[in-house]
Amino acid sequence: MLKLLKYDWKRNSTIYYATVAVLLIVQASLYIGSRKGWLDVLVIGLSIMAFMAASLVLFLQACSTFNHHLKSFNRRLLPLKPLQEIAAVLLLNIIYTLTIMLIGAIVAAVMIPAMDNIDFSYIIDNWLKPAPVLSILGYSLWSSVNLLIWIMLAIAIARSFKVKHRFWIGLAAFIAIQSIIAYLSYLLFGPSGEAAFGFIQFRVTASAEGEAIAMMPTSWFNPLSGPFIMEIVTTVAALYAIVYLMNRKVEL
Amino acid sequence: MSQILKFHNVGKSYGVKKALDDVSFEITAGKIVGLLGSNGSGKSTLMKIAAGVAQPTAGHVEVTGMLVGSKTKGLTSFMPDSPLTEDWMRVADALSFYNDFYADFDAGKARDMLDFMKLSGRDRVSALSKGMKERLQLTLVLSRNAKLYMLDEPIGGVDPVARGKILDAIVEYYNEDSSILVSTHLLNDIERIFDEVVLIREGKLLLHEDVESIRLNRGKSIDELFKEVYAEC
Amino acid sequence: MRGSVTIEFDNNLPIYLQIMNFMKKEIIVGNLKAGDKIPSVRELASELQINPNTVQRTFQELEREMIVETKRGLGRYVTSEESKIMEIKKEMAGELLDRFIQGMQELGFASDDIVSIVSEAVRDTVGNKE
Repeated sequence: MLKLLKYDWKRNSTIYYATVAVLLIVQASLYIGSRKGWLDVLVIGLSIMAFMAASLVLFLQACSTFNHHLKSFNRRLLPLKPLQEIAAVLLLNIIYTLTIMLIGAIVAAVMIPAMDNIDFSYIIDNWLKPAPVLSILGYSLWSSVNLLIWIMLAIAIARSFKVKHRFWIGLAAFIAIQSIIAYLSYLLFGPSGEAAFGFIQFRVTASAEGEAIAMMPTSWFNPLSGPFIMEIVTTVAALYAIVYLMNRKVEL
Repeated sequence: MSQILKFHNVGKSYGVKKALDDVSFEITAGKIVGLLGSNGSGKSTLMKIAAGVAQPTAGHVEVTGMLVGSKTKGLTSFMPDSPLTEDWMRVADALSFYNDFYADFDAGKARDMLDFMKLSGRDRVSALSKGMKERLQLTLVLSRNAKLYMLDEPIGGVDPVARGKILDAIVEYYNEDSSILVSTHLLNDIERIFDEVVLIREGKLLLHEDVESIRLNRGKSIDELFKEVYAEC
Repeated sequence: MRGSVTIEFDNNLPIYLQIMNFMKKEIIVGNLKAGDKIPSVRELASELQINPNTVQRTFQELEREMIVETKRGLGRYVTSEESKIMEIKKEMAGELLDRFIQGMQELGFASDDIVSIVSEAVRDTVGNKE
């Protein structure tokens, strides 16, 4: 599996380095801009957008890599089990996500102290603690992997057909499956917005200016929460489905 | 005589269309077998199923007695009529790819073959000419010490000189423990390479015979037999 | 056999028989002398672009007819018996003669005529060569 990762990595290396380089350049420019007096809110907004764009590019690369696994002869002929191929792509995505997180942490550490106009003390006091930080990072990583697995399932479904419009079949399948799961989740756990983010509490406070909603981290992320267990179960089912499709239905 | 490839009543349907219909045959070790048929007769489908990149809708296939799966992929070396390399690769990457994933890959043999073809490890795969790319593929496939080699139309669209080199390579890599299945719709010189031929038409197996027996008993060349059989289409 | 070997093959007839005839000729004519080593199966198959099993069959037949012998660990050699080589020569000549005589008889020539026509033809052929 690590051997596969090596080739997947090499295959995408140009895009990876380009994306990272552009992201760093943009962040550096924004930092300089902020020092020159640009609006803090603007800088933060653009900075976050840049991160989101970079994450999207790399995430799409991971998806496209899996698609490549399924449609090229040199990959399909390899004496490997489907789970190994899936794992390699997930690992690739994890590395990409960690890269973005690391850059994010560095940028935050450099930029936030430099911003004099915004009071970050609320966030720093309540959120900059091990429990919330690790929970958020860990859960974000999990979400990224989770989403990738569902997209890989959609890709596998699409590639099980030989018709021209199989992309739309895959898309339809993805939407259908996600809707069904969301509905099941609603039936089981109710409409609470904190369904999976069990470690964030919303508090509404009244003040002179009106109402404000505050998000308070309560504790460590709870892996035994109903919604999370359901996520794990459905994700494992998705993996089984992908393996089945790769063994029996995906053809060249 | 050990079994290398065996098709048991294999069928492959795409909806109503039958690409393969009740195909059964066996290839034993130490044979070079020609898989003959016109375009669309089911040759490629047959090879893809044996290689494990397509699934039969009926029957099953065994390679060295094992059902086709990830294990048999490690014993089968298949050259399809599509690329086996990725555009980002250099020749050296293509070689190390094969070396990393196939235990039976002989890197030394591969390097010798590449030297002979004047290909450098640093050459970019995307910059190679069509002919060079094909030779690279052949190198990768034949540098494995596999049990079953399958070449899908290796001589189609290739100039006579290259054709000769491919036939040379096939004869050279022949050994008694493995077998080579070569599909083609062109005969002439290549028919002297074959021990046996399997004739496929519209997904059905028409004939599987020893080549010299055909010449002896029917007084025909394989080329003539082929033309006769397909003239009825 | 020195240098590269070329045989004009007829794909309608068994290849191994054609190789056998070719090799017998080489021996009779003297390109392959008594006791000479002959190429290995692999060498010949590669040279002629022929299936190795076909070459193997050829060699086995030649061995069966005792034209060729295997020396353990050393390879295959043309027989050292000159008498055997003479025998093949006569055999091949015999086959040619049988076919010729039959052909001439089908054309309606009587035995005496055949002999005189042959004498004349040989004289002419030799004369043309000088």
